[in-house]
Amino acid sequence: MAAVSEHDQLKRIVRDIETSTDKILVIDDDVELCNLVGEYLESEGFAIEAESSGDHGADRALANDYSLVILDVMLPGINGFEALRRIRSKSNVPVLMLTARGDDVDRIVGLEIGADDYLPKPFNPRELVARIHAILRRSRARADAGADPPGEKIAVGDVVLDAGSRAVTRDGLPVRLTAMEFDVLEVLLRHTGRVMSRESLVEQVLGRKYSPYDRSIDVHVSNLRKKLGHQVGGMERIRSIRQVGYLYALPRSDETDRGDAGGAGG
Amino acid sequence: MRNLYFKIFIWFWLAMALVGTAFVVSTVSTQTGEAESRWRPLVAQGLAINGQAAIDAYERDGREALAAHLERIERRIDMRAWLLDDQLQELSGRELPDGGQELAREAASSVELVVRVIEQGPRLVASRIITPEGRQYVMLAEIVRALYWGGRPRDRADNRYRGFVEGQTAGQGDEAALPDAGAASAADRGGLDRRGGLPRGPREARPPAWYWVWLSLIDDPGELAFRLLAVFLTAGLVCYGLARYLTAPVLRLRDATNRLAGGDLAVRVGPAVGNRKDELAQLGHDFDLMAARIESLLTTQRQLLSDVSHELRSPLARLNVALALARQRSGPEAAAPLDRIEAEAEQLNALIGRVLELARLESGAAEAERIPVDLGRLIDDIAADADFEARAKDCTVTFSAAEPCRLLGSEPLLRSAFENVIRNAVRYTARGTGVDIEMARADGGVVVTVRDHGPGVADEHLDDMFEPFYRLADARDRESGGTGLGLAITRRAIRLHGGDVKAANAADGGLIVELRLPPEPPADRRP
Repeated sequence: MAAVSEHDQLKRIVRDIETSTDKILVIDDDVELCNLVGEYLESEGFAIEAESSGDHGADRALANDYSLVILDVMLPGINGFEALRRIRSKSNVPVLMLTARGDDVDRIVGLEIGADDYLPKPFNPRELVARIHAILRRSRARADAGADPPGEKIAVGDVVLDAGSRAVTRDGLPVRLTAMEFDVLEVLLRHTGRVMSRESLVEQVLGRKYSPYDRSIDVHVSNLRKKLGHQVGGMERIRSIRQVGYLYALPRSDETDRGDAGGAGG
Repeated sequence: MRNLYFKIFIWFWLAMALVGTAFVVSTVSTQTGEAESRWRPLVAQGLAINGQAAIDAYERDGREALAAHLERIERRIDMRAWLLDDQLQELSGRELPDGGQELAREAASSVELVVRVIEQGPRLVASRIITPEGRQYVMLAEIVRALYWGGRPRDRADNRYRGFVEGQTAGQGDEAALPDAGAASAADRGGLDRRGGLPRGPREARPPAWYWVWLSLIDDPGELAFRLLAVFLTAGLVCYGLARYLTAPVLRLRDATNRLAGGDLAVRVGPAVGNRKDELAQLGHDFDLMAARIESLLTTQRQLLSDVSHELRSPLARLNVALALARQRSGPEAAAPLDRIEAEAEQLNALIGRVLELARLESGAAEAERIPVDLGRLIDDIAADADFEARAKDCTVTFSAAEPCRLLGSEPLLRSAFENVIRNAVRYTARGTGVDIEMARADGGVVVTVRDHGPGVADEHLDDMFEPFYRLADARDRESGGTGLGLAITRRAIRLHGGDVKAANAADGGLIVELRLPPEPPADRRP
């Protein structure tokens, strides 16, 4: 049922995109920065609202339809992670976290809770706009995929991924994934048994150019391993290929037919 | 645990046992010495009394009477005696014991009692006796050991002793001629024991202390052993208590110190030291003060770092956005200076990040959670990124590891340490060359060498380059985007893991940085 309401929500977003500009909520206690970012993003064609505290921001994000939420980690009152948790408990609205630069923990925690991407602060506004576009493209693609009835299913070994409802099950049991984790898994499953380079994963999933020392993909893969189990049929489920990227293990021969079907579908 | 406790225990025990033994020994020896000075006049007196009676018997009734008299003495007080005249002829017809003749000769020319100790057997004593009429005799007697060692007169020996002195005086009313005590004499010339191998010259007056101990041991080994055992046991018990009392709070302090070093800033020893009021309790109190101070300092520092980080970066974030707005609203002629502003802002931002990172490391505020880190994979990841970055200048980064290596450490710190060195190497290596990274095991730890093909560094600066803000060539360094802090961060992070970093110039040009890590993090750095 949740999947259906999500579809509706995404369809509404698609309609909003067609009829009006994207509405973005910025949650940051630095009011002047909010003003500047608002001014800049408006010049780029977005509609901006700002909120300076975590709890009000979370409430507002849940009360209105936003295309995207920009959320600062350091906030008075409840911090950005807590606000993200509140938002994620009810909504899948894309969230871009602003983290303290160099703070790996912030970044990883944010991605684990379900942020779609992060940007270290202080950021280059052009980079911010690029990230926003990338995230919006992905969410529109999701909405389009959701609009396709019936949802395409990819089954590889014990994992079944429903591209339509964006649901994943392992051995028939649902697995809760964040939007980014789902996208990473989808790309990997569509290329089962083939090595996916970090570059192409970043480009396909995060919608931006790969830059060295960027570990977001690794965080997402690490989360996937935790949630799906490190091993499948005595093999490593998602293998790291040194210096290149990742490979989703080809299941044993008795299950390859379905895997191949899924691969062909991609 | 073993060390201090063991040392205190052993040393004090040894000291107390030595003191106790010395005390026992000196008691035994002085007691015996005193006894000698006590019994000597008494024996002399007894000998004189008994001797006078025997002389009386001899002079009155002749040889048979003397023999009878001496036999009576022997029966009554278990003392064999002989009487010799001034020609040293035995008068009763009894056979003299071994050495009796010589002793009598000595006694004849001495005013004092002469004593000879015979191994295991009876002691011979002899004294010159001059009758009131002026005739000189020598009285020779065997006396029992206990009497001789009169330190502990008791039992049978005690009775004999009394009988020896009193019985005869009571029996014979005659006036006794005591040995001439007033006459000066060198010393008694008692030739002493053959057994102890003592020097036994005629001048030997008093034997050394240990001789008495030795004799006492022969005489009553059980008692001496008992005394010494008592000394050892008592000392041991007292020392056990003392050592425990002294070391227990030290152990608690050590434990607390370890926990403090391991990051448990809330640890205090106050309650554990208890009601003591001594220096150790004060030390514990001082430790608590120190721990409280460190805790407050570190808390303040963490807060400060976080605040500074936030406060310095907020204006930078605004500056960046304002800059982007300025770009939108200005013509192409402003592009160059705006680019410059952007680059400088970026540089400032990188610098702030580095300073904060280094400050976190130096203050120990960086939470160094130790988890197993696959060092090979970590370096491989960095090498892959560096290789990607190096392609821009036609360079390559290669990594080779002889074998996989896992160690306990903080992954972010190690990543930062290796990334700084490797990116530094990429920055300086000549266009079209490669950076070679090798990992190998050495001395139980691991050594990672990063080698570039750049200009190298003058030998005298090889150590300085790990100092914060040390710049080898200002203009070039800034141009290449360095902050002057990367290698300082590397060294600090590696040292936090118990390792070290060294740099050297390769023989054929280029710099080799060697990072050494021990197999385990330093002991006692518990999380």
